[in-house]
Amino acid sequence: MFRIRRKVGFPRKVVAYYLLFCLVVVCWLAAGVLVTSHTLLSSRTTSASLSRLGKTSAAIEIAYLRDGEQALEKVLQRTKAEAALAHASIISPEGRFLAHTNLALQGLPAVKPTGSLLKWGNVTGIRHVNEQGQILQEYQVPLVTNGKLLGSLNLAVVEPSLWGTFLETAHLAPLAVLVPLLLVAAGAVVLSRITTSVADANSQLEQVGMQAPGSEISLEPLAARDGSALGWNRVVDLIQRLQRDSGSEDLNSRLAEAIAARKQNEHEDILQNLTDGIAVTDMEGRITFANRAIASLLGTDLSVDGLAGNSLSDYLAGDQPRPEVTALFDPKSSHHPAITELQPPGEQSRRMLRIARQPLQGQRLKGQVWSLRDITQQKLAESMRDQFIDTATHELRTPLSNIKAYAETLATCDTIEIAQQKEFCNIINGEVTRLARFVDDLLSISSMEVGSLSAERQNMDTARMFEEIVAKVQPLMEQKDIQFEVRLPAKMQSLKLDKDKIVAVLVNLLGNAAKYTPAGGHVALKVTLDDRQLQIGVEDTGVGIAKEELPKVFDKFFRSSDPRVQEEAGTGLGLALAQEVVHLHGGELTVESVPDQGSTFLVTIPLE
Amino acid sequence: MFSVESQGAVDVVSAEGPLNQENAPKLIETIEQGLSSGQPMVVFNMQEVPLLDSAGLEALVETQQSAQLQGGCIKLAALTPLCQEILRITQVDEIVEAYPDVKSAVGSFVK
Repeated sequence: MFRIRRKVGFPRKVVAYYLLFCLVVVCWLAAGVLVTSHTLLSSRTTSASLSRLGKTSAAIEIAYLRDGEQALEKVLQRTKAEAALAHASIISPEGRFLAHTNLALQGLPAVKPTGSLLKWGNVTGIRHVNEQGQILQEYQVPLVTNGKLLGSLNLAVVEPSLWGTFLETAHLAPLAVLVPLLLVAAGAVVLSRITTSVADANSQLEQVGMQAPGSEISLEPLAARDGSALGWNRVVDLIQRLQRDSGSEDLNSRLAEAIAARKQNEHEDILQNLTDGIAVTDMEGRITFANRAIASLLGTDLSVDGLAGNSLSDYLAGDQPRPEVTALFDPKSSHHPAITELQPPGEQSRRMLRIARQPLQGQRLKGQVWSLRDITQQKLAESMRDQFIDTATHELRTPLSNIKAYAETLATCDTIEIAQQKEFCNIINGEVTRLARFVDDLLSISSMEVGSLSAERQNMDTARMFEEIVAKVQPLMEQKDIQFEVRLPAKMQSLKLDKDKIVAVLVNLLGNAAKYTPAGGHVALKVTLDDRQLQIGVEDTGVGIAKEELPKVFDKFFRSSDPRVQEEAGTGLGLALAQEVVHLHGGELTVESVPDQGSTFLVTIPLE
Repeated sequence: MFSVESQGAVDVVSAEGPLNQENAPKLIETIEQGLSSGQPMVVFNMQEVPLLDSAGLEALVETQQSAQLQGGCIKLAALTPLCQEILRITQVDEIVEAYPDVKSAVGSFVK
């Protein structure tokens, strides 16, 4: 039936203050009434006493004249009873009580009490406190009868105390206090009803105030009791509509943002995991985006974020200005793609980078997209291939030219002697053999590449194999007057090897030794054989190999840059093939060399 | 234990002895600090590595991930049959590519 409010809101406070102030007012008024009543009572007591004093004085004169002193006491008793006096007395001029309402005091000397003196014309008075603690007002007036001073009339009244006044007026309290209090309570109820709407609104606003900032505001409409409730309901409706609209917009925008962020993350992941370095620069060439690979390609320890804002050209050019880098960053050419290859500065100078630039014409971004790739290995492979083509062309052309020349001579000339014809034919045969060997090498290299090169190991007479090798290279040694030393073990058992391939390897090694050893030099073939392995050393006192070229001598198509080597014909395939053959036997081919002093190739083949 | 030689842009790291708890940190240190700057292109020559344990496998995977983060790669070469089997069983061979010899491993960076 009654709605209980769980929360004391603003109107409750108003009501409470209203009640408090009203209570104070009621109390103040009650106190005022009490004080006023007390004052009035005191004043009335004084007036009554003074008027009673005159009347009593006249009555005493009459009674004294008529009945003498005996009548005085009766008059006093009657006066005391009528006027509610504390006591009444007549004091003779000698200072004795002629009469007193307290009969025990008659005839006794009167003691003048001490207190404040009062005076109204010929009436005097004393205000003092008696033995019972009551405040007494004693009024005295002289009694004169027939021109003779009889004494003085003394009337004492009890002055009304504040408590006494209160007790006297207590019976009026219900009417004087409770009625105003009831009126105040009624006012509070009316006030509360008037402010109910404001109270509800206030309660909701306080709850909103306690919510976290930015959270959705939840307000409820109020019962339409008054204008303020109607206004509140409109505001609530507006807020709810705004929140609904902004909520749907917010959801859509957040959804779009989430999708965009996801896409962005995917793109970021893709770019970051590319092995090619990718960077985006602004119109001034400053890096705005870089992936992880580009940091290592540029040889910097900076993180991806650390690169941002730096100039890409600084990383590519290094300390020294480089025309190719300057051209790459020339604003005039920034509107078309460009590709260049350059060696990065500093420690990475032995590497080769392919740098591609593409103008970025996005709606939001303007600048350049850069792609960097390490092409060092490809450039090396290209370089070796070019070298091979040069070598192969030379190797093919030289015998072909000879063959063509001698064949034409034979075909066109009718007067050639038989011996000369034979010589020409031998030359042609020799060149064809050379060509065939070269083609065989190429085929072997090709087999090596595709993995089909294999060793067919069979038992063979090792001693005969070395005899064959020596026989093959002996003419080369003799041709250049090279001292050829062969040191073979006294006894050699048969071994399981691919004889043809091992022979080819050793002929190649000894042929190289003969080729690159000056006339009058020394070449040695030293063979050791034990239970575990066969070791074949080929030593020469030739041109040697530079230290930096040693690791490359077994690479395909590698030719030394030494001019003394360049003079000699060669394909750069022999050592590569030799190493491959040794590997096929599970062995190792190593080299030690000192430039201008000679080289030692050591073939080590483990025995099965 | 570890020696490094360069073949073009490829660093060939050769090891001698087992790749175990004791040597694995040195391998990581060698590959991450001792190599030339630029994108890491590393061939780990395991011809003289007779055995590798869990720490060695972990080192291989860790260095591979580190190299790949920079757009590079680590490749193994000349594995002994035992090491090959260990890599196969632990499926590390799916993470680190293996080649029969150093030459083919180095050559694979051209492709």
